[in-house]
Amino acid sequence: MYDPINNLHGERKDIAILNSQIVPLSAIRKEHNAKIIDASNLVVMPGGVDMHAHIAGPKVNAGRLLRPEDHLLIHSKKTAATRSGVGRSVPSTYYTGYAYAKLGYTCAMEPAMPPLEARHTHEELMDIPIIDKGAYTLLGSNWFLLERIKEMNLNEMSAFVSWLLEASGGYTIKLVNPGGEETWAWGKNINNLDDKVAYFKATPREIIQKLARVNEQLNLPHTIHLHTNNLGTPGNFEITKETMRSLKEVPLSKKHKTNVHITHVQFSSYGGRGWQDFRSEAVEIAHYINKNKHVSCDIGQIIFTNTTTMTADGAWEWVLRGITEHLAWSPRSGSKWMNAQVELESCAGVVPYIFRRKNSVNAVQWAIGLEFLLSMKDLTRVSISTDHPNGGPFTFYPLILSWLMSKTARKEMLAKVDKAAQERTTIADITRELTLSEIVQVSRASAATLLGLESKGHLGVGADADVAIYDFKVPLETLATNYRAIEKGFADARYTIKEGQIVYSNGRVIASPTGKTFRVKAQVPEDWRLQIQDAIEERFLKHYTVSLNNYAVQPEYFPREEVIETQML
Amino acid sequence: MPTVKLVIKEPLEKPKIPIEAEIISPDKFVKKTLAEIGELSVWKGNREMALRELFHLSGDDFLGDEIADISILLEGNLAKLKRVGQQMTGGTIIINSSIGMHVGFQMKGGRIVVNGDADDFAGANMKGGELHITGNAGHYLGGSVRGDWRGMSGGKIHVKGSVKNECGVWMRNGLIEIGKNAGIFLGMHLHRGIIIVNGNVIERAGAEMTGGIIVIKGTLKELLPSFEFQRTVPELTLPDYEVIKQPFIEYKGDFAEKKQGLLYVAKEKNAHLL
Repeated sequence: MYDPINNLHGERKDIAILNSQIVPLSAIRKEHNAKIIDASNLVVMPGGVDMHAHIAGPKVNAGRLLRPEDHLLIHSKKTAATRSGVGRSVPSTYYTGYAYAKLGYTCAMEPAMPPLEARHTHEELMDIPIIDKGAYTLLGSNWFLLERIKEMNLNEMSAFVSWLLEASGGYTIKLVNPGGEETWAWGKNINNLDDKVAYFKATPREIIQKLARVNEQLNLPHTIHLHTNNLGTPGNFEITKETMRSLKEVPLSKKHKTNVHITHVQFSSYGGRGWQDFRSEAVEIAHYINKNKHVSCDIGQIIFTNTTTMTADGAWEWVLRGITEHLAWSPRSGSKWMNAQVELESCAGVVPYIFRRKNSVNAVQWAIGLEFLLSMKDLTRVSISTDHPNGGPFTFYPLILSWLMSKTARKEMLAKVDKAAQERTTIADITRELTLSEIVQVSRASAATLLGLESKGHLGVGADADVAIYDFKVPLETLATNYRAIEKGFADARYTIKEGQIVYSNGRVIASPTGKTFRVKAQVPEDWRLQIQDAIEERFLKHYTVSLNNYAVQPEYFPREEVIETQML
Repeated sequence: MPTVKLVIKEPLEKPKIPIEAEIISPDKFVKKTLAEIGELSVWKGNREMALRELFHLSGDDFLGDEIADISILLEGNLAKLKRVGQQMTGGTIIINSSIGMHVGFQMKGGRIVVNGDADDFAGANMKGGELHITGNAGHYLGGSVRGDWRGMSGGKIHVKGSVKNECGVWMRNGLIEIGKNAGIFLGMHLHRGIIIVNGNVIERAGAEMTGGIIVIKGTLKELLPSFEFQRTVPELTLPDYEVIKQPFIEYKGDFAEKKQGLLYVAKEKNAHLL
């Protein structure tokens, strides 16, 4: 049993599950008529938690529409317990749930929900079976905030954020290229933390700092979830560092040990001045995070595969589309793509992309994700991710785990990729191999802790009975040299148990229950909300195409929910 | 040569429901006995059926270990039989009838002969091998399936009759030769590869092509305005193809895209373009 939160590192131990929770062994009585799963010689760990995967919402759907070829040959039949499903990088909703269950994952978060599209996002989340889920509300370019960022006081901002999180059924504050989304609506982008957002007085620095303060004041379960400015461009490690530095002084709430989560940090750790001298600065970023405890991150590992990039960073997707004009796999006139704007709130872009081993930039990108994670001293502040489907579909997590656990696996891959990966990163020198305990840490425990989900990511008494049982078929001490067994083992859980119910076993989904939606209700004093009420009403009357009354997501969208209520301190 | 013959049991009425028959391929029949092949399943609409329920099977009892040796013979009314020979890597499929959509989809090797007409998407996303159609072919011959920007990337397609619209759409490599006429949007989005039409084309040949070569030996009634006259050539030499000994007019295009495509039309039949 591997459960680092409860200090279990491969001990032989029994656990008891009653209803949906893990209980002390003594709580099980004869009349419960308990089913016994013999997991001897198997590896037991908490169900996986994915803190960043684009699995639902308008841009995922746009990806599905844009890429029928992604659905063509990957499909699963309906069975007694499941519906049919299709897709690979942009799978259909039901299939997403089954695919997670197969990997032993029981929780995943959709990280970019424009409030205006919250209904769409929750409609899809409702349809994703088995896993627990939630969605992060996009706040990086909200007009209401951009207009008032200078004069509004923190209390009013907190009131607004708390209202918007509640109205959209969101989980945390997501910032994507803060200010850049709005600037992109005017055909421009932001390159500097102190650039003015088009036609507004706000700057990215102010947006990030103030919303981080709001987050800590509201005492939200997770920190701000930040997709940095200039993401994807060479040399962006400087703005990433500056962003982190600018948040150093933001006081932490009692709940948090960190005040910012830099998401898919791989895409934000680039050095060089252009694609020619593109190189890794992962060590530099990892060094900062090792030294400064206020930052957490997920890696955004890339996989050499055909995938679909999608982000609320529309400006970056435009740049990426331009890049595809020069890539052999793409049409000479560039890849197909789509771009969208969400009125007053956000924007989005979708571009199909194929990561190639022989492409020097892709090779360096591949190395950066691993280099970064393996350079992290404190694994409780880092989680794996592929930024599904941007770096690759989440179904490749087992492959990432094999790279992390085995230097042989990395070495063999390194031999197959462009030599730039050796020359412009330190991946070749890294000998660290994560243990199974550390794997549990970076694939479950960290994500759950960072998200503030106390019932996830561990197997202690009181935790949700989300358990993944794997069979590696080789002695565990030989896993590092037997990396294919790691990948195979993690790719197909022997048992996945979700809230006490076996949902996947022996290669088949056998039950398809509805998971919970996590959402946040952040309490603020009533009069704070009253202060901004008029302004919100006016905003909707004048500028939104929907009325305020039709804006908030109603309770029907949460057939099963867990509302996390937070109190200000 | 081990052979299996599949004759479709004559339907009482005209078949309406498509049969997804990607299982009919030498790759799937290899190392199997006739009885085992009969048990392979196909989907007819939403019903899963065994091959033996749909076909009379005859031929060798065991098909051997070599894909390349296998020969499959198909007969009967096959208009709704889709995806025959999908992803096949070797062997031969001979179809003595007209065949439904997606024949030879993504095929990598071997040979398919259709002694009849082929429906839409014949040879779509083909990677290698040969596809011969003695009748006519539908839309998207040698093209790409919906959404894919990488169509046929190798192999040869030969059609004795005519083809409908968007022949060779998104083609990346290989050769398509058409005995008679082609519909509109011939070679749309062509990236690389050669399309030769022995008959006539009405209009919009080479729309948005960014590379590759289109040769029209008949009349092109109307040329897209985004093509630019280059020169006339007395004869045409194409890579991996015999010299075509007749004068052609050479155009470059499509100027709405990357202008690297070449369009040749026979000089004597297209005086109206000059």
